[in-house]
Amino acid sequence: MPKLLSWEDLKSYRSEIKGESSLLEPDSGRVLLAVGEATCGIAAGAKEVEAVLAKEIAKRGVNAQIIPTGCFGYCYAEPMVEVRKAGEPSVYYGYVTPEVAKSIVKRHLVEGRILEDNVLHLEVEAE
Amino acid sequence: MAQEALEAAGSYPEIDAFYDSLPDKNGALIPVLHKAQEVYGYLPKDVQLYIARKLEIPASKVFGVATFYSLFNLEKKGDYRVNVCLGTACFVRGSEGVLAEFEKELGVARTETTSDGTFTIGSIRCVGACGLAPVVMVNDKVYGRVTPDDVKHIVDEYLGKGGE
Amino acid sequence: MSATQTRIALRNCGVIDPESINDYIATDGYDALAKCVFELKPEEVVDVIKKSGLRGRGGAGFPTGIKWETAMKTPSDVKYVLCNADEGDPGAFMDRSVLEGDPHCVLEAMAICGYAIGASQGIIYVRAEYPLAVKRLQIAIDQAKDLALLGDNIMGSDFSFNLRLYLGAGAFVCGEETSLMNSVQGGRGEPRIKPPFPAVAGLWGKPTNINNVETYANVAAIIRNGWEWFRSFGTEKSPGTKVFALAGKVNNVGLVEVPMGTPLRTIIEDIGGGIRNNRRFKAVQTGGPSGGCIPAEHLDTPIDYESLTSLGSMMGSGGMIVMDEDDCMVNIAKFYLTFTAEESCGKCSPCRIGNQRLLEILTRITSGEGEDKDLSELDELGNIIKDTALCGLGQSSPNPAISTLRFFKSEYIAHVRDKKCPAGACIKLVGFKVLPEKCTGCTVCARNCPVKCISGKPKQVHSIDQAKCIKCGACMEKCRFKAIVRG
Repeated sequence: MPKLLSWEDLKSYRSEIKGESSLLEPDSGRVLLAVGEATCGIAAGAKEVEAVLAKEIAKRGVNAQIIPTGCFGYCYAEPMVEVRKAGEPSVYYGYVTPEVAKSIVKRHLVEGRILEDNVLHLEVEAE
Repeated sequence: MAQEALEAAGSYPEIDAFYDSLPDKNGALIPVLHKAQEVYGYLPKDVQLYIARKLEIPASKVFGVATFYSLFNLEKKGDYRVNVCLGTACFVRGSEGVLAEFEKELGVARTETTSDGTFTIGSIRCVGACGLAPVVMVNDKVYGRVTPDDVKHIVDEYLGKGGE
Repeated sequence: MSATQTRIALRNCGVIDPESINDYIATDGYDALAKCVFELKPEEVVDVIKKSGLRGRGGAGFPTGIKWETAMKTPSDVKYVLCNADEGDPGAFMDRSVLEGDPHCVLEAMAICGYAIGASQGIIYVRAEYPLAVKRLQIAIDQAKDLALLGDNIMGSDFSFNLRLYLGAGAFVCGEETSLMNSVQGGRGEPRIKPPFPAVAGLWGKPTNINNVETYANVAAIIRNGWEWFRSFGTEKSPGTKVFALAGKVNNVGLVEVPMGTPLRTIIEDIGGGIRNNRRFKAVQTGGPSGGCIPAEHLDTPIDYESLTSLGSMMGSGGMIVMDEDDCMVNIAKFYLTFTAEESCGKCSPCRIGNQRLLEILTRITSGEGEDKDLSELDELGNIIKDTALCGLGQSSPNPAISTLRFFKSEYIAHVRDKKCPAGACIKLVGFKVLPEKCTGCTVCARNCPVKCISGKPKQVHSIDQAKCIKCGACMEKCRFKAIVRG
């Protein structure tokens, strides 16, 4: 890793890594799957869900990346998976079992159909 | 030399190595006690006395600190430490009933260890997984939404494993 | 679920990968630190924090800028920045979520504080009960050091700031700042008298700034967006947002960040989705063992530090436990007193002895042995402890008892005079009876009764001898037909 030796260094480092960080570039065509992996998410089975997602993505050759992330704040609905696509509002899935995780890849990512029954409707106003 | 032999000779190389590796010796007592408990499972009297000599502080201070904090054990615990959360969120969702069921299933009371040394029942205050209340921890594994009916399954899960 | 949340402290939680510094940097991470180090003088940083009106999110709500200013102005060769991550309130998990979901935001804020007050060393005091938070913090510290965002000569500047973790060992009182510092010094976590305040003479007697995790989580955003921006949220006296850990008998247990001044009702009904199983709301407990229970008639109170205190509760760190009609308020008060009596460090007598006496009174009342004079004694003794205890733990420990006595006096009276628990929670005050229409005469209850007080022939309705019954509840638990109920 490089040492950042000025504010300019930090800024140029930021523009370099933007493509590889887990944040979505507007035109990348890449889909991000955020899995809530704080203590409660893991206790509810988030690691198993992540493993199924990874397997399914590989199997179906989808251009998607999994981000293990922190707490979404909706502990009651753990494990949770968020599907982020550029230019579209995020879709949050709650109570995700390994079976639901499989369907998320197959139906949502491949066929483009949202699994309405498993969607949590959240409206969070960000910073 | 084997660990037991070293201990018999009053030597605790792991504590020495850990203490020597600390960049700042100020306030080292609690980190050293954490390390000792990690190595020996609890804090036997001889270990406490050794730490006092090593850190050049009175043994009474070591004992005072070891007894002040609830995570330090002065007695050997079972292989599997069953901790039922008695934090508020778990309490209002019935964790007392879960604790009672563990006591019944294992035949020992809270803070006690089964005679074969397999299980110790304890309680903890909130692991912060209140969304899954009531919560039980067995060693480092967290079980959520536990009902008294789940207790037997949890115990059975560990019974088959022997003593690790 | 319609939500009216605003995320500042939790801005990155659930958004970025907490184990990736690149994710944090990509969301403008460490820009606030760079801005301070390269563009602002320490006093200008303090000024921004002061003007933002940020108040301590760990409990009492002391203005953060004043703390920083005092530490900055106290001359010393060595100063410390501490982070209180000893989140011990049962039912509170805000800090854990921040540490597990966005550890870098805490590190960046501590470095900013170090720059502002002139400290080059920082320590995060974190609960050993949070292994995942410990792991992610350590990863974050190592990553930041590798990029020269922490350590010696940060980003090539003259400013150096080294951070390390210190693990607690399970003592609630260590959430009190002077106890925490005694613990870092390797001793028992016992508080000491203030003043001197930590900002003047703290860790090892040196000027020390200590803030809680959530307080730090606001800092970088304030520096980046300006104090005017921060003040556009919340109320005049309590600007910004507050994170609450909503738990208990609500449908949607979770972490909530709302602007200060949001009514309790919005949090519980709109965000929390109301009470589970269609039960009736009875009270919401805020502030953990230091707080009180707020009844339904005050649900429209806008939440800020002052309004909660005037209701006999407090903001505390942000635990919010919702209770329904099945929860007995006397029993809840007893639950909290059991906790504080156990966690009292024993240094001052009001807390060490007084809380034991409070607990004894509450135990008497919940066992049906209470008398009228117990109620006045509870109130009087509680207030004496509040006035005389040494530290924040003792001074607030009677709150659960005093507040429930204030708002739910009729429940206390029912326990004392009628020997009844209206919620049916105090087991010694309820009897058990068999519902004849449901009893199948399976004899399971009779076989499990430890005192053999249940009689009845197989396949016939059983009955309980109330005189012999010890109210253990084993019969109700064992009955597969729900034929035994309290009453």
